[in-house]
Amino acid sequence: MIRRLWAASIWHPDAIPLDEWKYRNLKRVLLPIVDVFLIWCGIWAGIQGIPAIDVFFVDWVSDSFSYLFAAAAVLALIGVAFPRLWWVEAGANIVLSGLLASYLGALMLLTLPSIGSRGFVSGLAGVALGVVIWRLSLLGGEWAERRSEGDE
Amino acid sequence: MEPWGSIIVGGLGLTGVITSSALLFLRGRGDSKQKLNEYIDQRVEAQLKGALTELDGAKTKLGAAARVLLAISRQTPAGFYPRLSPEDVAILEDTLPPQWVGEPGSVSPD
Repeated sequence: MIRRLWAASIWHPDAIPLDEWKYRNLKRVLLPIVDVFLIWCGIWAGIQGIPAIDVFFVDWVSDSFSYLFAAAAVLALIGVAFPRLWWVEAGANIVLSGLLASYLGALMLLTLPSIGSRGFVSGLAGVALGVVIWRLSLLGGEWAERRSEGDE
Repeated sequence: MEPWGSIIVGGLGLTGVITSSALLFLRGRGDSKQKLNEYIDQRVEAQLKGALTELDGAKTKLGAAARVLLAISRQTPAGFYPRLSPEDVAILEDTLPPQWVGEPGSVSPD
């Protein structure tokens, strides 16, 4: 079981095609780290709430936002760890991109009308959104490759 | 906070979902390897071109040499076998006149 999981994981030596070898640590290190931090954000959002979102929505919507964020981040990590579950990762990243876009919008609305205090964190939210969208673009390209190779 | 704020924030989330889904779909529909394959084909063709030209030249020369040897064999008396190295005969078997093959080490009448 463990051996099969290892063979299916992104960290197995055969998991990265030769033409992607130079960038192997994007998938093996960077993306898992990003997802771990997104899970971290989701857990803390569930415990403490998200002040910027709380301003705009009632409690249950705000709580749902937090739990959905944490769940999507966990699924994204599972998807990046096991490339065959790329569709799980794609779905999770679509959800994350929506939630991050909302969060970025909330921070912008709280920052831009006057000189607010959320400028820095809104920039970080923008970085996270950029990474998630970039990953979706990669997943789309890999989907196209699978199709052209007749896997799907 | 005004309700329009909630609408904007919710709308941005919906926009994010729709945009990212469209991105995934459009990238997935495209042929991402087409340009790479075209580039590889061009490189391979350029590199093979010189080698194939040389190969064609060598085949032309080898054909001419085979015809010259065949003509010589026809103009020599019957029973004449040139002194040839067996290793060379093994390599050039298709090029040598058939009557010279199978007599490795044969000597000419004189």
